Amino acid sequence: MDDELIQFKGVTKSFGKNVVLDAIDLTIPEGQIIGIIGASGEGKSTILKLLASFYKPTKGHIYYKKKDIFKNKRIISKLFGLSIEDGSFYEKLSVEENLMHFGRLYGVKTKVLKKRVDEIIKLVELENAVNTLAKNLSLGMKKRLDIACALVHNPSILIIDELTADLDPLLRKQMMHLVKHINSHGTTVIITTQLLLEAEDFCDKIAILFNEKIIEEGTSLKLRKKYKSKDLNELFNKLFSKKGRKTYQESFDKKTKLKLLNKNKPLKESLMVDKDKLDELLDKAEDKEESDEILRQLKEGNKDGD
Amino acid sequence: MEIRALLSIIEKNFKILGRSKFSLIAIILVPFLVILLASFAFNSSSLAGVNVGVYSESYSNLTEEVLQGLSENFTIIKENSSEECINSVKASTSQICVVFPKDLSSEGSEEEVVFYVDHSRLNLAYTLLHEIGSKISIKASDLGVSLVQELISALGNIKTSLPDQKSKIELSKQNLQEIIGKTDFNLSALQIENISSILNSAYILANSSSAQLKINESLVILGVLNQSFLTASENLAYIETQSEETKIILDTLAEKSDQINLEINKINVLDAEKIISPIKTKIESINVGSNNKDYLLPTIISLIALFGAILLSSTFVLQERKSKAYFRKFLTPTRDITFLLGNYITCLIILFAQFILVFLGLIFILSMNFAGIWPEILLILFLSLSAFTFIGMFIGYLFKSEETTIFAGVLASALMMFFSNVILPIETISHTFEKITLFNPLVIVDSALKKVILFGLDLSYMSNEIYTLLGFFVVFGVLSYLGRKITKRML
Repeated sequence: MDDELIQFKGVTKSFGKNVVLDAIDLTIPEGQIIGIIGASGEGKSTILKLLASFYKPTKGHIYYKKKDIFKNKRIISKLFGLSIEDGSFYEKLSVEENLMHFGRLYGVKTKVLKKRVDEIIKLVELENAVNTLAKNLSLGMKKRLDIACALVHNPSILIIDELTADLDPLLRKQMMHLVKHINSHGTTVIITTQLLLEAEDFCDKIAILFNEKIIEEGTSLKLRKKYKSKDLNELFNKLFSKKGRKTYQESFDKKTKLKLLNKNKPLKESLMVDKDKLDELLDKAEDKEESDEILRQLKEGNKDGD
Repeated sequence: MEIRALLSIIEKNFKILGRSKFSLIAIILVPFLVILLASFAFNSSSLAGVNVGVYSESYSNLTEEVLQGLSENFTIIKENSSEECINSVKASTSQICVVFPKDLSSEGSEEEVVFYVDHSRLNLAYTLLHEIGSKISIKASDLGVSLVQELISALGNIKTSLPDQKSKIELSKQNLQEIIGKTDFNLSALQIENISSILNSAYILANSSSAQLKINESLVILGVLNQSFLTASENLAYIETQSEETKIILDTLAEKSDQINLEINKINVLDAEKIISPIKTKIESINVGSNNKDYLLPTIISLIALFGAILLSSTFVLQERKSKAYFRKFLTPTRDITFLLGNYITCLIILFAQFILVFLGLIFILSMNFAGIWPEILLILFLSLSAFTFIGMFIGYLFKSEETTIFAGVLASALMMFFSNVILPIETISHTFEKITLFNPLVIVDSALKKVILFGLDLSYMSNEIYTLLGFFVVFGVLSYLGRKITKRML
C-alpha cells in the first residue's frame, strides 16, 4: 500500500493496571480524512495522543512512513498537528500572538512564520479577530484558533479530537467545511467523534473503537454493507447488541452528559446559539435533578454576561 | 539551543503578565514598599520606644539618680507596687520592670535590684537586661569607686604619717636610753655606811656635847638620806626595768611600723577605678556607623528574595500548568529544558526588576551607599534568586491546585524563616537542627549579604555560601526539570 502513512502495530496503552487500548492495529492512508469512532471512554483521545507522541505505547509500535515515531520523536512531532477537545492555547494572548508563539516553538523561521500565520488566519477565517484575545473569542472561533495552532507549523497530519463536540449544528457544519478545506490542501486529517452521522458524511475512512480494540475499519459504505445497515447509527446498534450492549446511544451515557455540564461556559455558549441543544440535553437528563442542574448552569452563565 | 523558542516563551510570559496589570504592579512594587517601610521604621539604633516600669517602696536620691540616667534612653513609668510593675510587663505596657530596694544608698543594701522581663520576647529581654543592667552597673561602679577612694586616701595618710611616727619612736627610744644611762649612781650604800661609821667614830672622839649633838643630827640626817637613797635606788631600778620594757615595746612598734610601711608599699594599685574593676571591658561594634536599619537590611533583602522568588515562580509554574496551552507545549519539538529556562529567566527578570527598584529606593531615598560592593551583591542576588526560583518552580510542579501550591510555597518560605536568624539566633536551637539550618538557603544568603553589606568583605570570604547556593541552584533545577516531565504524565 503506497498511500499508507501511519501504521499502528499491536499498540497497547495502559495507565497502571487500567488497559485503555489493547493490541491495536490500524492503518491510516495519506491525504484522507479518517474518523475514529467510539463511545465515550473507549480510548479515542488516547489513540490521538499516542499518534502525536504525547504518550508512549506500553506495547507495540506506531510508524510514520515506516519510521517508529518514538524513535524519531522530535522530527516527526513537526509533521503532526493536534487539536484537542478543550482547545490548547493562551487565553490572554491574541489570535496572532498565539500562532506566532506556537510557530516559534515548532521552530518555524520568523519570515516564513509571518506568512504562514497570515495564511492560517485566512484559512480558519479569523481575519477579523487577529488581535482579539483568545478569551474573548466565541466557542466556534476558539475551535478554529485551536486548529490554527495545530496547523501553524504546516503539518502533514492534522489530528482533531472531538471536532464538533459542544458545537451547535451551524458551527458543526462550519468546522466540517473547514476541515474539508484543510484536507483539500493535502493534509491528512484524523478525527475522533461520537457523532456517527457526522462521521459518515465526513470521513473517507472509519475505524470503530470498541472494548479497547479497533474492531472494524474501512469506508462507511463498506461497513454498512458488511453489517447490512442503512446508516452508521443502525450499524452501531447492531454491533452493540451483538457485543452485549443495548444501543450506542445508551453508551453516550450520563458520564458524557455530566462532562458537558461541567463545562459551564461552552455549554452556555452553545445553548445560546442552539435552543434545540438545550431541549436535547433536557431530554437526555435522567431525572429532574439533572435537568435543574442544566438550567441552573445556563442561568448562571447568562448572569456572567460574557 | 532553541534561542528563538526561548525568547518567544519569555516574550509570551511578559505579554500575559502585562495583561494582568494589577498583578504586575503588585509584584514589582510590593518589595520596594516593604524595604522602604522597614528601613524607615528601623532607621535608628536606640531603644527609645521601650517603657521601663519601676518601683521602690521609698525612692532614695541614689534611686532617683539611677532613674535619671535611665530616662535618657527609656521612658520611665513609676508603678505603685511591685505587682503592678510586673503586671505592666505582662500587659506589655512596659517591656521591663525594675524593682529597687527601699532607700537604696551608697552604703549598700541587703536587698537586690530585681529585673522582671518577659522572656517570650527573647531578643528584647536580653537587650533590655544588657542595656539597663549596664546603666545600673555604671552607677554602682561609680559609688564603689568613691568608697574605695576614701580607703585609699586613708591608707595614703597612714603611709605618710608612718615615717614621722617612726622617728618619734626612735627619739623616744633614745630618750629612754639616756634616762637609763642616767640612773647610775656613784654613791653606794656602803659609802653611806662608811660615812655613818666615821661619824660614829667622830662622836666618840668628840669632846664637846654640842659637837656630839651635831654629829648625832648628822647621823639622823644621814639615816634619812640612806633611807631616801634606798628608795631612790629602788625607784631607779624600777624606772630602768620599765624603760627597758618600754624600749622593747618601742622596738616592736618601730618594727610594726616598718611592716605597715612595707605592706602599704606593696600595694601597687592605688587607682580606685582599677580596684573596683581590675579588668576593663569595652564593647566595640564591628559595624561602625551602622544602625538597626543597616543590621536588618541583609535579612530584609534575603526575605524579599525568598518570598518573592518562591511565591512568584511557584504560582508562575502553576498558572502555566493550569493554562489551556500547557498541553500543546508538550506537542512541540521544543525541549523541556527550554520551557524551564524560559520561565526561570522570566522570573529572574521580574525579580531583578524588583531589586533594581529596591536598591534605587535604598540609594536615593535612604541615602545608602553600596559603592564598591556591587559585583558581590549581584552575584549573591543572582545565585539566591536562582536557587529560590527553582525551589518555587519545583513546588509549582509538585502540587496540583492553586491553594496547595501557595500553601506549600508559604510553608516552605516560613520554615526557612523559622530556622534562620530572623526570629532567634540559630545558635539557640538544638545542635542537630543547628547543623541542618546551616544548609538553609535563607541563612546562607543572609550570611553572605551581611558579609558584603555590613563588613565589606570580598567573595573569597564567602566561598562556602556561593558553592552551597550553586548546589541548591543545580539540585532544584534538576528537580524542577523532573517535575515538569512528571506533570506531562498527569495531563
